[in-house]
Amino acid sequence: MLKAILYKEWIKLRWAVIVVAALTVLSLAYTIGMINYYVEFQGAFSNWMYVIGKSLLLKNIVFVKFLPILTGLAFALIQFVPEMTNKRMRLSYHLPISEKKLLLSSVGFGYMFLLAEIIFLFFGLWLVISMTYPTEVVTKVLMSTIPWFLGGSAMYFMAAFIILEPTWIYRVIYAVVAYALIELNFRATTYDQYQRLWIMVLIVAIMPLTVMFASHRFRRGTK
Amino acid sequence: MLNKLSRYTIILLMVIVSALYLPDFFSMLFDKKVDTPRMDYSAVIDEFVYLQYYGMGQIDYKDIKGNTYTEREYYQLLPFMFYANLEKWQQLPPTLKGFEMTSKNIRRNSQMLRIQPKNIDPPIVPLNIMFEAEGDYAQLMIPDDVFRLGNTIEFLDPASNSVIEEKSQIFQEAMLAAGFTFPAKIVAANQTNRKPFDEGYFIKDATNKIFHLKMIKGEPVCIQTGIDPDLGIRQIFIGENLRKEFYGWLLTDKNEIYLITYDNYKLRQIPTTASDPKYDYIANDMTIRFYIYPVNKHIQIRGDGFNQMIVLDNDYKKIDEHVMTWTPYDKRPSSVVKSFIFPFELSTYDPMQWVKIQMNIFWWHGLIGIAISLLALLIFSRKRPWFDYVIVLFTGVFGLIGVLLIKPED
Repeated sequence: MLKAILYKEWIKLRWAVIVVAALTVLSLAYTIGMINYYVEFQGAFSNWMYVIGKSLLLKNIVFVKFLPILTGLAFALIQFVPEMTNKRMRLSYHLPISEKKLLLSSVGFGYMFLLAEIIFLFFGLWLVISMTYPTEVVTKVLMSTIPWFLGGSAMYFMAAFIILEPTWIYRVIYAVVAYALIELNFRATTYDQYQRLWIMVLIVAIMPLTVMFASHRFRRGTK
Repeated sequence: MLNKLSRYTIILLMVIVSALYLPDFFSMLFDKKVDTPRMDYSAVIDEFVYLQYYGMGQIDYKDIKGNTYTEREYYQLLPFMFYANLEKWQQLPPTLKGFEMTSKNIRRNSQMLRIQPKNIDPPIVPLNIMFEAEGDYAQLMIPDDVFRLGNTIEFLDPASNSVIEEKSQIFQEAMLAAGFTFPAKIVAANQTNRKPFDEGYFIKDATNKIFHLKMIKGEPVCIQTGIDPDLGIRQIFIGENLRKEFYGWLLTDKNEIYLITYDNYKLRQIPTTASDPKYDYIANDMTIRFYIYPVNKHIQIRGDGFNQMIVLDNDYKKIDEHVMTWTPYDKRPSSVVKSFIFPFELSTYDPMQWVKIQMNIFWWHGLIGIAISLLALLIFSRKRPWFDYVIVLFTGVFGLIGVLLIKPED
């Protein structure tokens, strides 16, 4: 049964995964292009001064900043909107599989692709930045991306949660909460500015648990 | 069971979001501006003076004995601050306390240094530039390489993103010959070319000894300064000035400040404590300014709710001190009301310039808010899982909002 569920999720996601894979490669290519452009027009030393002193790279890797949240949102929409139209989710809940297994494996499966994108971006960025800049810069840039990846993961979990919630009032409340939690990860103005990252990680780590309550409310048919 | 856990997860997330935003909204709506006085010390009347803003553009110029002055009279009391205007109005006295008063003379003999919390340990990329200290040109030329100083010293060439072996080797040897033990703990310099000359780097090595590193005609010059390694030096600040009295200043773990003088790196401490220990300098929370004037020196420690000023004579002996206070942020009406309504607040603001999620618990005022929230919960609903009360017990009104909005489904 689980295999069938996962296959269903794959059928929904496969085109999105291909598009996202292409976008990931394009984001890295764009980053290379931007870095080379700035080095060409500023001169190598002047460029390093901007990178070190004015956090220039945070501007150059802007797609890496936003791709995970967009991907998270897209995956959540693609996976769960079809389930919730005309309350089709009711059918899924009648399948011979526990609610818990059904939802957590669907969410886990979708997250797996998001995580793959994040890992690809991380190591891709590592490669790209090291071509032009020394390890100090590479470390700082990679550390700066961690909150963004957490933000992308938060977007996926919260979007799935909001879509699976049956009533609109609750959805609005959750949307406000989701916005605040995602924004929490984008407050840096320079490299590697976050301390106590483990708290951010913990907040995102407990988010997948929320979908169970949404499904519970759906099954009870309450308003 | 999982559904209950799920509901409490949602409520926890709502508590976090409420604690991040609601106290802030409250402050935004109800905080009032408090005009604080600007203190100074007049060498003309040997007394502390200050100006106090009142709303609607009204400014009072006074001394601490209570006398009032007009704006022009106030400027005349502080010639070392307002010499430009006074010279234009031809109201600069010819001499003051034996010092010849011209703009040029005053500028040449004045200096200011400042330490703010955001300067002490900001997030930076640990790569530095080494200026040529005795170059051919009139101004400092920006080099075309950067160096890292960790387990070794290595100069890097940006064009090829690789190590410049020869230069790195020469510097490495010079530092080791001077007795330097890698890795470096503090690397401090004034990394700009907008200064009259360059004194290079002051570096704390692994054994807490301080070394002075410069580049003269392309060659490294590394000197062991002999500064006491047991001082507990937290940060070093370099500020080149034509007065050539000191290279810079350093801050210790005990919130002491020492000037690093040109007299063989001998340290000179400047006072950072006042007669009332409430107003002692604490680096993480306060800003300290040290003004050097031709006839005296001022130290101003500004914190939340007070401005402590200490005046020294030219031999660094204390002449006078005075403190002015106003209501600190936590004691103002809106903050007090806030502490009764909310049990704690979350924020990511850090004066040291990091993004750090932190909790400020409003002890014991918050308990009242919690008690009211528990009461409200009792009134609003009878049948409720006992854990809801536990949540409200710990999170007050934030938890109340969560448990009321997200009804338990049974």
